Amino acid sequence: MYGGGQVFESSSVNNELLKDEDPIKLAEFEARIARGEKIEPSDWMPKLYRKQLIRMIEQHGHSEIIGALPEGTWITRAPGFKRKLALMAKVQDEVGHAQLLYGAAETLGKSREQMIEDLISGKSKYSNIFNYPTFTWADSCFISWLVDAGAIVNQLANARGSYGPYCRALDRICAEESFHLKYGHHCVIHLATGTPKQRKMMQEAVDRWWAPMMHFFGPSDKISTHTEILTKWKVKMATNDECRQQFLDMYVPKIWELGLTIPDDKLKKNDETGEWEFTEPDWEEFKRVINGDGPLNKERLAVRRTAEERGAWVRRALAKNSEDQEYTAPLA
Amino acid sequence: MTEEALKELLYKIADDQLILGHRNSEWTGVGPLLEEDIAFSSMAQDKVGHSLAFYNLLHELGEQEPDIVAFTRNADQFHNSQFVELPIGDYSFSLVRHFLYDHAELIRFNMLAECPIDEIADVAKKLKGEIKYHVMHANTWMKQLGKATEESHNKMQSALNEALPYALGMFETSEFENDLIEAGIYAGEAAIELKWKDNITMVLEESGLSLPSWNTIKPVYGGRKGKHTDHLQPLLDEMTEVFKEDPTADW
Amino acid sequence: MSTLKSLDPRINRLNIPAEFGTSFSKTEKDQFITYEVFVQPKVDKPYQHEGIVHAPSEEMAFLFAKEQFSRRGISCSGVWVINTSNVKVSPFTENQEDIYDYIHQEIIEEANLNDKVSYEVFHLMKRGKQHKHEGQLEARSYEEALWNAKNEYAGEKPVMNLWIAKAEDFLKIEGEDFADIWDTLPQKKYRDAIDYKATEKIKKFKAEQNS
Repeated sequence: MYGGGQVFESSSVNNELLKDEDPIKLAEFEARIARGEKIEPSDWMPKLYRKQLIRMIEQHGHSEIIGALPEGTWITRAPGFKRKLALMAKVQDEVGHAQLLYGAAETLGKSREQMIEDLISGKSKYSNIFNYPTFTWADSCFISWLVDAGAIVNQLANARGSYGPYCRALDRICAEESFHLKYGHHCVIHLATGTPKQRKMMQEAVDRWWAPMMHFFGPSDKISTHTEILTKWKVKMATNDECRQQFLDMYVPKIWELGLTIPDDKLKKNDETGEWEFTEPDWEEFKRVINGDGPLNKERLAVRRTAEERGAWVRRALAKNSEDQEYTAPLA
Repeated sequence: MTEEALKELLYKIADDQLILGHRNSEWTGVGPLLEEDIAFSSMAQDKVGHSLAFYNLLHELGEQEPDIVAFTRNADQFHNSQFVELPIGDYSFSLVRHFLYDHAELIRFNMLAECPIDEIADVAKKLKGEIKYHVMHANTWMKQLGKATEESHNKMQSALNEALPYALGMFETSEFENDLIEAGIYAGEAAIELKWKDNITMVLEESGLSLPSWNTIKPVYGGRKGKHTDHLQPLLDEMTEVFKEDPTADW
Repeated sequence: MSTLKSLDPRINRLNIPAEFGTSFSKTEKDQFITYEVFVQPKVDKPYQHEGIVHAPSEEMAFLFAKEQFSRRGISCSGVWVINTSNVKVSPFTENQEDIYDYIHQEIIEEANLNDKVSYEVFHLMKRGKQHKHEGQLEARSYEEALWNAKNEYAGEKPVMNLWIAKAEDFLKIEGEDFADIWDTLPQKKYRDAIDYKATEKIKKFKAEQNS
């Protein structure tokens, strides 16, 4: 699961990186992308492309592994066999997605353990929405349906990007997300059309999660030379606003048809422009949370760190058994 | 053989699977490495799936729906061995428990696959392949960690020492034991235990782990008769927390 | 020392410290090598590359690969894993050129020849897609395997990229001995979108709202 709001580096650093690229190779590279062909790991690529891709795929991977935690909160409490099995499988998928994405980033030259170290030390980011708590079963249902729906919008766009290994990982991820989406919708339908208590639980979850959901796609993109080149290289495939609009268009009617209320008086589709209008999300809050001051940033990283530290003896032992073997980056 | 005898057998199998699957699912998302996190979660799902298959068999014999049976009973109505209800502990303990449990499970399923009651035999035959993978997984891990480093050896050895008395509790016999054996349903707990000892001894030897002499280990019985550790009721309270808010609601 | 209080009962049982005194930094490297994973969805379909797993041995690589890459689907009939270092990779071609056009007889003239062994050959037909198994052939070196592959497999459709590896370097879990470990795949419907239909429930709800 991953939304927009990727943290790219400032343009000055980028321009520096671009300055001394070989113009002939760069032209060939750009021509290949323009023809709609994918870039594969052994192809020549600009340093900036490599760097921004690692950053993006890595953030996506982190969002998956941290994203396993909010819903994981309800694994041991899922009501009934069907929900129990599905939630276990769903959270497992998120871990699996992290594995796939880290593998794609590894083809670009960054090791998985370095990525994990950067996650835990707070050096690299993950999707903001997972810093919020899941108080009830309904919160986990909201995530399964709508956060995953938002992620699919973003991921389907990225799957048309230019980097082969990332696209392959995303194809696989999107196929699995279709289960998440249907499962989540199924859960929400059951709560929203269920007993008064269930309905109330679901409405409260919508009330809690709507603001983080609007933050999920990130602030409006500022047009800069920097985003232009990432768009041209098919690293960034859709703007944050485009993703948010698409999400609203697809899912607001589905939320409304269940008799649920969305906590935003201004939310409506403008028939003339075809665009959704809404109360501007609180971007100060967004920034605060992304910089570490959200309700659960500390817990999420503490849990990840503990998992890493307590599992260290296992990895040390396995590493001992394979110490004579040399690491080669994945092929594809 | 009475139907009561058969139900008792099915209950203890199903309850073991449910409780162990539930316990092992606690690792999902916090395992020691990503790939193992995924594999261990799959096996936890398999276990819960197996329990569902056995609760369905019980339902066919007139017991209530699987959700009701699993999500509304109290600890003293559960027939699982105390072994499976113990907390997950360190990963070494969860792995050793998985190893000891699945070896027994494979033998049990091989026997039940020959059971004269077709419905039971069919379920056992169908699910056997999953347990075969579980045992492959367990054996490979024991061999990897048993002698990799001093640290891993010590952790696995102490987890094994801790687990063994409880593991023997899996083979606690029921009052219907002889009826079930005579009816040819399966060869009985003692027969499973005997074969299990042989099988695990072989793997443990290869793993460089030592097995205390069996007569020094005192089995922890009671689980099959509803006597449990203090860990089971809280586990059930947690598992049923949402479901019990309204057991008649459709979740 | 105080422990972290979480909404997740699992996390509370882990007794995680509320504060970590030091910043996180790994003192020793603990990443193992990677194995490339190939999956065969059905007996009559070719093996296809699906991704990698990190593992300390090929047995472990298989255990991980099975759950990461074949836990869904209607069927699976085999998984192959191979240490990434043991796969020889050709360059990629440009503009629909065929990699086989770049393989000439000189390639075998300078090669050191060993005993004849089997090689597995994989083709990539389009950038961005997966490598698929094309076949097995015998050769006395990688170079000869490439040359033989050209003679056996070059066709009308251009091949963008080739992978070649010795058959003996794979761990192949397939065939009758292992068929049963994937037996229940089609029954694991809870992992599939198709198992979550609720349109009837919505219809009923809407009808009730309108009445």
